[in-house]
Amino acid sequence: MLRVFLWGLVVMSALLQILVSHQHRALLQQWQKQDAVRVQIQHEFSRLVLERSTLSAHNRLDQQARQKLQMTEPTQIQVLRK
Amino acid sequence: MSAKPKQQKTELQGMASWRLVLVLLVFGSLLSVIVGRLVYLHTIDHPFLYEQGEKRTLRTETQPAVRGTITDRYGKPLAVSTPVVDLWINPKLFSLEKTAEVASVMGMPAVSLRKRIQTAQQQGRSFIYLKRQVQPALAQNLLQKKIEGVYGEDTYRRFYPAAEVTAQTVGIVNIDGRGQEGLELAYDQYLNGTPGSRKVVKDLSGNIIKQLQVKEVAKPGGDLALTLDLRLQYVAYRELTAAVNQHRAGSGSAVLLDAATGEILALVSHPSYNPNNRAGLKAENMRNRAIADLIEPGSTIKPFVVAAALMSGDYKPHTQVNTAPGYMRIKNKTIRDHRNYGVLDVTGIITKSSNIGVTKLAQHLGAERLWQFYTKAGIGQANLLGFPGEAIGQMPYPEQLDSLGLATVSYGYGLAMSPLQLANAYTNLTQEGCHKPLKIQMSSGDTTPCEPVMTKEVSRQVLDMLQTVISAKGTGSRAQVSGYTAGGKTGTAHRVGRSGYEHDSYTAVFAGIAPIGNPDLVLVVVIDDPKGKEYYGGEVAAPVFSRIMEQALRLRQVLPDDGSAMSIQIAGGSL
Repeated sequence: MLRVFLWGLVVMSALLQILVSHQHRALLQQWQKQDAVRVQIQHEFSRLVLERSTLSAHNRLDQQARQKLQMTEPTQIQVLRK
Repeated sequence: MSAKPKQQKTELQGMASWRLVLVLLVFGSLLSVIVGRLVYLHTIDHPFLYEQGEKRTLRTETQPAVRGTITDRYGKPLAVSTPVVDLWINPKLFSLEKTAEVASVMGMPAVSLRKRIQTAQQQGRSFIYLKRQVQPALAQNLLQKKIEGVYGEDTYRRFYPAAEVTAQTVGIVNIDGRGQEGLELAYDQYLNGTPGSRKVVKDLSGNIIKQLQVKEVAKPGGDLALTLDLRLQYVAYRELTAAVNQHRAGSGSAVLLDAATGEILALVSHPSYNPNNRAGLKAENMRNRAIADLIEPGSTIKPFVVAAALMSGDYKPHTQVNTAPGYMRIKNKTIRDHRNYGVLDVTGIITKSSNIGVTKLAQHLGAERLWQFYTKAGIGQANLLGFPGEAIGQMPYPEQLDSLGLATVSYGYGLAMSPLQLANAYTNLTQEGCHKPLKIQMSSGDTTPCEPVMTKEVSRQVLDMLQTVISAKGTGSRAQVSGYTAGGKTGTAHRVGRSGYEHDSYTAVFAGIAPIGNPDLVLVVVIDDPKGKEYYGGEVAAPVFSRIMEQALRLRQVLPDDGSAMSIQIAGGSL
């Protein structure tokens, strides 16, 4: 009786192992996909950071403000007080 | 009827006996061959086969760690790592017919590439770089073709959005992503992070099917927030560049500090270089002149002699000192003023920048007391920012100072300091007479202790004297900042050449503070070797001070405190 029971346990644990290793594989695949997405987002982020800092570079802003918008530095300083 | 089947049965049995034995024998021997083979593979050949199997499926993968970002105080990026791909070829697996295809995708000349691969093949090498730091999209184009022997490896490239404006301060990394210069080198360990590695099982098409062991988790490098303000850095760089070009000077540098905390807001030197494009890079332009170059401060040191004299209690700002006849002989050397100023008070010595005046103050104090005061104020001391190539100042010991040496160090010759150290010394005046080390890295708590150098009253008196320098009668009138009160000191030093001081080659310096009532910024401008007609600190460096200071104060939204600024009252309203 005990022998049958133990055999049953062995078979069950073997089946469980198959199940678990299958789940492991599935999770690993999911993780890999997510990791690829993470890397891609990271790439995108650093590209956007660079794009923003290139567009907002101070010498570019300086030129655009002077040439396109005809802006100048204030000369006559006026202080507003309440 | 019954006999026939019986006979058949015996016939069948007779026939079966040998046939069955034969079939069984054949099958049995086949089975034993298979079993034998299995036993052989599982016992004798097992270690070898197991190893080979592992070799084909087990891989150790490394994951590169991202290098940390360097930002200014408001989080604007100064150095960012972007992903790129290093493409490499295994010449042993690569067939030369594919060269043209690779070359056309990469836009490289096919002939030279073919030659390169051919030589590598002849040398029996199994690794050559095709091209490093390739844009991910382009690399993808090539790798998608799945040409045998062509591989890609993900890595990072450093990009510097502010380019030459912050080049020397931030520094650069080499092609392997390790710090080479500047803060990239100083904080290399911190920025770099550690790459991860793990053991995995891969199937035939390269997909990971099992992760066996994570040896090391990839740790991205730390981010570094600097105290620099990119807006002020840009303003300082633009004005400095304009001045260096206008005066055809050899080089220039400027240091802008927060007067209250000693934080470095701008640190620029010119000529600079573009760290994103290293073709035609000159090593001398990579030096951060504000930190690595030693200058003789010239007259900009005089406020400290005066402060030492005031601290001794023997002098007050209005104490009279006779500077007549405008020259003085010490040990066969004549010290001169521009002209005979006659009797000046202590304030007047600073206003007119009288060499005779400060020499008399220094003689009264003696070498020991002057040296102690200089040392406490940080003159000739290391800054300890941890910057590579940071210059340590030179200040002779009191025993080395004879009467001539004492006179020269009182007007800023015979000792050397970096522009950064000079700016640091001026923060003693703005921090109520206290000496604090400089800061370049943002930190939450301001815990650095403050070493008292002079009393609060003396620092205020010296500030008021500095304001007279840029008045119409002072030497630095061109440093006036429109809308704000300011104070500062001009300095002009002969440059040191091969045979001592050079006759017609100068370093123009201006060190100043604004607004003088409630100091917000300390700025030091150094223009080295101006070749125009103008070379005095008051002519060359002071206007740069004025322009940088005016824009910087406005950007920092400091309220104009100059009485001449028109004031508009808003009745009852609130802003």
